[in-house]
Parts: sequence; C-alpha cells; structure tokens
Amino acid sequence: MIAEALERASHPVEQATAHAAASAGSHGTEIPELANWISLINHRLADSAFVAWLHHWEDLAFSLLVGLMLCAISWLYARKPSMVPRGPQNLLELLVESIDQSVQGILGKAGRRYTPFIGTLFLYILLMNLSVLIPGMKSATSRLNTTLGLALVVFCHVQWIGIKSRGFLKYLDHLAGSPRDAVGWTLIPLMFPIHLLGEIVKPMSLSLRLGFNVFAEDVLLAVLVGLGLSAGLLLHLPVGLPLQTFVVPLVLIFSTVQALVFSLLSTIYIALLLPHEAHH
Amino acid sequence: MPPILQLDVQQIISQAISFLILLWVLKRFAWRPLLSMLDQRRERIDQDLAQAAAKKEELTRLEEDYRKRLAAIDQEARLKIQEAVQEGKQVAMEIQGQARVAAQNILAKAQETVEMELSKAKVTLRDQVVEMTLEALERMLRKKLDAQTDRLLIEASLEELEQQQSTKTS
Repeated sequence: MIAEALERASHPVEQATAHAAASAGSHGTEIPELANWISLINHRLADSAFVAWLHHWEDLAFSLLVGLMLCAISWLYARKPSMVPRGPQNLLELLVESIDQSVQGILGKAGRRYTPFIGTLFLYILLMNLSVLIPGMKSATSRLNTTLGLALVVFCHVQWIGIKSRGFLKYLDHLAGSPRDAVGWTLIPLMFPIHLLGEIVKPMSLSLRLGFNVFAEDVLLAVLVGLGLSAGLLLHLPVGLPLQTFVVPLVLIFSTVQALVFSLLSTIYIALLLPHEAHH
Repeated sequence: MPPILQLDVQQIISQAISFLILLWVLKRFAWRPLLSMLDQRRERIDQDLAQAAAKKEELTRLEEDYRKRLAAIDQEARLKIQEAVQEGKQVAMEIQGQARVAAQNILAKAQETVEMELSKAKVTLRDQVVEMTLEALERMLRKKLDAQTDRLLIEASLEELEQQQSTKTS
C-alpha cells in the first residue's frame, strides 16, 4: 500500500494537482524535487517550444525574479531615503548597516567600497535560498550553474581588486609566492600554478558548498512533501500532511548560514589579496 | 545525472551577467543612497551632540556668571540699603536738631516780645497814673476845697484809672 501511494504521489499529474508535490520524473532522475510553476507549465504544455525554452532557463528566470524583487524594493524604499527613517527604510538601514559593519570588521574602514558587492551577494543568495519556501518557486542556488556564475563574478572581482590594489607586477609577485631568494625564484614554475589554482578553487569551493547544501535542503523538503502526500492518500485525506513544516526552521537557518558563508568568505578572499596595510 | 550537475556554460555566464546587472542597479539605487544617508546622519548626530555639549557648557558658564552677578547685585543692594538707613538716621537727627533750635528761637522770641509788651504796658500805666494824678491835682487846685473833697476827688480819679486799666487788659 505504502509503495503504491508513494508511486502515485511521485507521478507528475499528482504534482500538478497538489501544486507543491514532490517530483521525481520531471528531469528523468531518481532524486525528488519540488515542483515549480515553470515545471508545472512544462508538464501541461510539453509540446510548446517557448515553454521548453523557459523550462531550460528556469534557474535564470527564478534568479531574475529575485533580482527584480530586490530592484523593486530598492527603487521603492531606498532610492530617496529620508533623514528620519520611516517604515521599510528602518529595516533596510538596519540590514545595510549590519552588512557594512561586518565588511568593515574584516577589511577595515577601506572595506566600505566593497560593501555593495558583498551585500548584494548576500541578499541575492539569501533570497534565492529562501525562495523555495514560497509555493511554485525554486531556489536557483540549488543548481551549480547559478552558484558557479556567482563564483565566476567573485573570482574576477577579487582578482581585479588584487591587481588594482597591488599593481600588476606585485599581483604576479604574490601569485608567484613572493620569491626573494634563489630557492623562491627556482620554485616559481611550481608556485605560480599552485597559487593560480588556489585562487580558482577558492570561489569554486564556495559555489559547490552553496549549491549542494541548498540542493540537499530542497531534496529534503521534496521528500517530506512526498511523504506528507503519501500519508494523506493513505489516510484518505483531501490534502497531504504538512510534514515539511518541521524542517522549515532548519531551511531558514541553513539558507541564512550559507548566504553568510558565501559572502563572508568572499570578503576574506578580498582581504587576502589586499595589501596588508590596506585593512589594518 | 542529477540536475545539479547538469552544467551549462551559457547559463553560468548568464547568471554572472544577471548578478552584475543586479549589482549595478542596487549600487545605484540602494547602497549608495543608504550608505551616504547613514554617513550624513552619523555626521549630523555627531555635530548635534557637539553643539549640544557646547551649548550646555555655555549654559553652565552663563548660569555661573548670572549667579555671581546676582550675588554682587544682592550685596550691592544690601550695602545701599544700609547706607540709606544710615543717611536717613542722620537726616532725621539733623531735622530734629534744627527743629529743636527753631523751637528754642521761637520761645526766646516770644519771651522777648512778652517782656517788651510788659515793659510797654508799665510805661503806659505810669504815664497814665502821672496824667491822672496831675489831672486830679489840677482839679483839686481849681476847686480849692477841703481835705474831704480832695480825698474824694483823688479816689474818684483812681477808680477811673482802674476802670481804664481793666478795659485795656480785657
């Protein structure tokens, strides 16, 4: 009976009617995933080329939705802030000041110029992580395409900061392990690739950590939603049991922690490439 | 292959570009205005606090100044009152002395006047007595009568003289 119910719950049609059901067949894999509005449209209109295209780019679509939401909030409440804050401006100022203080705590007073980059990274990742909790939405960060895209930006930005703050020759000197004696110069062919690889691996490790953590959260939610639906079917209930509610607090915590880890480690990478006197 | 591992270079680059666009928009419309507003507010609060401290210090200084001035004014007023009291007493004593002298002068003048009037009255009386005596003698001599008649004439003259005296004094 249970196996039959699980099988029924994992069927795409059941997902479409439940609007938040666990999906196992949408990507042709064994790993269950929550349905979203694009995947539901794709199930309904599988023959449409536009829907297929939209489904292919759904991660970008969901990240753009989050980005548009951030832009709208900025436009409405932060574009012309008043000297006496009212309403949402209070919350935004609290957020901005907290992020600014965190960045300045790591990079010193000169770190103020990197606050927008780190802050945007944090808010963007946080909202993408949390968007899975909204029915029909999907965490774009549960795909490595998204996290690697962010890692690419972080890598380029950090290297650019290194070149700008140190100068190109000193930047190369840093990558070569700052050779000052014969042994150092001899080891350049070894040290240079290692340092370069290290610089590439740093943001890549961030993206893998973030992507797999969020993916695991989404899978956990999907499994619990599937179990809830199965239990509902077994008990002949009109709706599934909301078993995923118990892990929502965990999702909230992990999403915040992952966004913090990504943004704070990016800040530390910037600090490592800045000249020492710049952040002391 | 799990969906998370389905890598697509186009999507990676698209995600990077979308983040850069978002970064530009937020930097332009959120981070710069909010951070500059926070800085402005911090500066303004610092300035206001410094101004408040300066004003408080000035207020304390003015209060101290006014307290000193009030104390000086109080002291001056007390001294002036004491001086006025002393002056008043002195003026009163002078007025009393002058009044006493004036009273003595008036009394002396009155006594002098009384004495003068008295001496005038005495002289007048003596002249009248003399005149009457002479008149009585004249009558006596004119009649050449007896001693009884002379006596009666003299007494009649004296009575007449007393009557005149009493009318004058009344």
